Amino acid sequence: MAATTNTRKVALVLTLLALLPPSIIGARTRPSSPHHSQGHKRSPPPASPPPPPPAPTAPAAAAGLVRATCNSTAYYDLCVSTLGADPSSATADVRGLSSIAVSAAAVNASGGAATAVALATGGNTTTTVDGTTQALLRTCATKYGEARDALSAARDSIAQENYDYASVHVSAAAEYPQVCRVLFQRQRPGDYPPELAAREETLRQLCTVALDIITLLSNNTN
Amino acid sequence: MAAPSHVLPFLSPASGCAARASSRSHSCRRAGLLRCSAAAGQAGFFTRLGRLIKEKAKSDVEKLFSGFSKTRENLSVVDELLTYWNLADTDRVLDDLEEALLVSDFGPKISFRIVDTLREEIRDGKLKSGAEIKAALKRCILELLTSKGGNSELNLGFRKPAVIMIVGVNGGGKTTSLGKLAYRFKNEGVKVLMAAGDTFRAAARDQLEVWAERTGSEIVIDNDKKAQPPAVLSQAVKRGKREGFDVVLCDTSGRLHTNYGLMEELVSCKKVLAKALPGAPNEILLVLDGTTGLNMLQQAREFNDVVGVTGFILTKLDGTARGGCVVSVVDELGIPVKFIGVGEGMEDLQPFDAEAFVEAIFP
Repeated sequence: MAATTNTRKVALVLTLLALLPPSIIGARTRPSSPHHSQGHKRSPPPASPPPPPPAPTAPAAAAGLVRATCNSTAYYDLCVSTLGADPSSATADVRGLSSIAVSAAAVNASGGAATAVALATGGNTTTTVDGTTQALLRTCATKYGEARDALSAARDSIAQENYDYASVHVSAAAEYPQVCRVLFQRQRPGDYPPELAAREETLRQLCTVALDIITLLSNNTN
Repeated sequence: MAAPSHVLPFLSPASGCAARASSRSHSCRRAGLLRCSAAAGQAGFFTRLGRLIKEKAKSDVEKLFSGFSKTRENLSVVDELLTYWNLADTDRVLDDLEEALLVSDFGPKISFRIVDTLREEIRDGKLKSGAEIKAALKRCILELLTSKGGNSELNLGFRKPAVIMIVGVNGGGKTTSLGKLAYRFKNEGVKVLMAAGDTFRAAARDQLEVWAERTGSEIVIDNDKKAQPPAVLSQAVKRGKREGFDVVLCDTSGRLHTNYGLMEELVSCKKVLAKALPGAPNEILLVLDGTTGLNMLQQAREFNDVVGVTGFILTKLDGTARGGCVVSVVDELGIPVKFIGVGEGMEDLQPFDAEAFVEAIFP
């Protein structure tokens, strides 16, 4: 029974350690000494500098970086879930995380274009698809396509460490789908498909997350 | 009393040229366009230079036309819509026209305004055919560009050297635009000095050095990594004055419009230039990448608020179907487009001509 309790305690401590940011773990970890377990006083420090603290396990460090990065964004939960959903976030640095965020936004934009096309071809019943609505939806598909292209350009800019320009492209991507909504408001008031409304909002939030991470990068290089 | 040394003396009239200047006769061209237009208007060197560069654009219409092929393709639907237009179809046709404009990145505000104007004129019986609607559409856009955009000629003042400051975000084609601008000036026999004010990126300095070599321009560079841009620009203007350069082209660090610390540095650059030479900079040209579409409006607004932009250089328009952003940026800010980039070549930075632009997107 005691063994089980001890195991639980160890598991709990490990979980807590994993939740701590790497900087704290690094600051609090001391080099182990053979004397500690016997309760003796610590021996005087050796002449050579002590070995560096053991690095936290990779997953813990990665999770810490994701959380620390997402702390700087406007949508923490969305950021954590988006970055966490990509396996490469486990080994990514902040630049890699910004690229993952941009890619996630690009996937959303592609989905937006596909949704608009599906609605235009009558693949959904929530919207009356007359000629005008079809034309509007085609324009929406074009605009989501432009958002996707802008995000692809942003990814290239990040790869070239041109963070200012990456930001410009991400901002552009967030704006393109707004044209779709404005057109519906003008030509078909009240008929803006809820599927596209949801896409637009998610894309806006994903772009905001990506921009916030790119800003982190930009500030570190200026 | 002799004119002060920093004021450019007018070039002496070329005999017999003035009378024929308006007809742009062959003999006049041979006598030298600069001298010819000088005689015609007795205008200052820089006034003539600005006008000359603008006039040269007229002969490059084909380049402009091919540069806007993607935008034109996007807007070709307008011809289809208007060919079979009839009064009963008005609302549908105008809705489709609205969409075509939006897809080409005429912003919502301006697209709706243009279409509403056309709707009104159709309702009032002023427009009775598809051809008339198209002509009215072109007129509408042209009026907007000329009334809001004002003068798209370079305004280079009256003193040597004229100082042009180039600002914008890294990656938008800022240094390349500066190089191509130098090439245009050199072709008119102008003595050009470049200032490598982008001390933040070594690559930018190297790139500018290459452009200086290619265009036969002089360049001021400070290889010290801690060099401050305002100091480099000040040094360049002082040298420009001392050595009789006609134009000093100042590169600046590319920065994002949301980076307030770096934007403040631009303000310092502007102040330093004014201190080194009263009236400088004569032009502050903001380089905007056409492929970013309407997002350029936000950049333009911010840069203008901080540093007071006098004109735009829109680049990479040949690679995009978003030529409508040219109209949007002028409409929104009332600042003229001075040059547009419609290709990779040295001569592909074209002086902006509103009429040619409208013809290129709506032939």
